[in-house]
Amino acid sequence: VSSATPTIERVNLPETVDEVDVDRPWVTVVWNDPVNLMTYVTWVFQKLFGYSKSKARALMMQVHTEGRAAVSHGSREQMERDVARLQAAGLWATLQRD
Amino acid sequence: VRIRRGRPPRLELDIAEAGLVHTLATQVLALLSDEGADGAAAAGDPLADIVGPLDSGAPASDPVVARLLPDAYRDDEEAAADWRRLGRGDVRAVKTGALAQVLADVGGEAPLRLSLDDERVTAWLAVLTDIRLALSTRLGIAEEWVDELTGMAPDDPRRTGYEIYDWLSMVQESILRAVG
Repeated sequence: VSSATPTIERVNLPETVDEVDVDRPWVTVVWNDPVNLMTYVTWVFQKLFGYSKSKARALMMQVHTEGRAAVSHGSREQMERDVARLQAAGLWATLQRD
Repeated sequence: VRIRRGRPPRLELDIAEAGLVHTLATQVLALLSDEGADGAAAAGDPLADIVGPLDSGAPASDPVVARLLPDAYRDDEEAAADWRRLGRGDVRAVKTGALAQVLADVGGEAPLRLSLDDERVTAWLAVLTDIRLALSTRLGIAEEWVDELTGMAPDDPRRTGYEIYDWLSMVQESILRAVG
């Protein structure tokens, strides 16, 4: 067993090629359904996102008249959290790339 | 039912009304508990004792559960399946927690006199929504349900369900008016 001075060779770590979802824009979409009350949807948008009453109402009306609205934007992780909170409140929410 | 304005508002239900909410919330809780969360628990997974039963990731087979716990991705089945295994459980946990809160509130044998603090408002509005979603899925209630109920024959078998749905909607609107 030799006790030669060890050499510490330079090793290059493999380049990490992240498909960086985190920085790419995703959106949370709320879909219209015949059950959720307009007042409740507005209340949920205010409560979960801190939106003003007028912004929350406008988004609710967009859901109602156009069938859906993008209600928040951000990383995929953030949008999954928003989807979970909206679904917990009973709204029909999904996420997708912007 | 009576909702008294104030800070916080108060919700009053008579015994029959509280009993109705209790029955319906119990049914929704049973539906949510039965499905999807049984995979790991049934196999006796020790991890399930620590983190709770894992989600099997299977698509919901009951349309009510499918509506209460919808897929988070519409056009990406792989991502949707991952969500069902990893994300759906969080939504289920919040819903079952809110249902447990409301069931505790209406569990007494006396008329309900409930002070609606913020946490209770959130739980009650979510539970009333989930019960209405469940009823609407079972009864096929659509956007024009008010007209349908108005024109319904007195002996129509759907009538009771529609009237309960109507009452729950009214309670929810009243709470929203009181806190809005």
